[in-house]
Amino acid sequence: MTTEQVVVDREGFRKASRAGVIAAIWIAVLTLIEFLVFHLFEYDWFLTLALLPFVIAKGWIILDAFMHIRALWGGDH
Amino acid sequence: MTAETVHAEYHQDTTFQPRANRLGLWMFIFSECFLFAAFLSARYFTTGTYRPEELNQLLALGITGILLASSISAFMAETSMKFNQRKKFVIFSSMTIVLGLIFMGGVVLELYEATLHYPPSTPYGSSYFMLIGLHAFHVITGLIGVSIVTVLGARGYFGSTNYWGVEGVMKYWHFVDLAWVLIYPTLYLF
Repeated sequence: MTTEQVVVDREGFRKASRAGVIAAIWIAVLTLIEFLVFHLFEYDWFLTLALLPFVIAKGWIILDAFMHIRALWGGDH
Repeated sequence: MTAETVHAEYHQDTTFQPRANRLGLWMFIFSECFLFAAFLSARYFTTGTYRPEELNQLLALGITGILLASSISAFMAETSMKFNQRKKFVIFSSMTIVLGLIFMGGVVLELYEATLHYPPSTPYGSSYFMLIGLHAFHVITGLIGVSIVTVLGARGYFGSTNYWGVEGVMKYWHFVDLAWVLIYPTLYLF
């Protein structure tokens, strides 16, 4: 492996890592908001409805960013 | 075309096997989704959205954060192997194991509390123990898988062009995280 190739690999690693960290931050933020929403509307009937978007968003982030589901149909992963 | 030619062509198609492996893993994960869906729906069927007052919300949030942290370390481990950075792979996959063990410690603690306040003989308790137990079983199998690829990776078994073992195990670990994203609100929030 040449020196140039190692540099390219490190750059790729840095980019891929950053994408993962950003996804993790999004999940963490959504989890905290989810927790806050739960405490705000704890005894309200629409709590499940209010929390559902957070579950769906977090699930999709994991499927897309971490599990690369789009690679199944030829996405860029 | 002779048998030898066919055999040679099969082996030249290097893209085939990883694709087949990946599809197979996704089919397995899909089948697992049905298992978790059955257990999740059983919770709503038996107790609706009822929640006991004694649920330890902070502990649940804490172990959720730990599992999320283990998911990012698993991602970093896979990415490290993809870019042939073996030392980083060992560090990150070891972190995943440690975080998974801490998560399991939290689960043991919450199960202990559950036996005191909502034992398995109660309707909510039965759903609780079923879901937490099923998920904990997946965490344990995931930890075994991550441990195996960590040892193999440290010995140089995987590389940037041959890391399917790492990818498969880490995908499974992310699925465990995904399952918790659904289980956590089902048991603690909804």
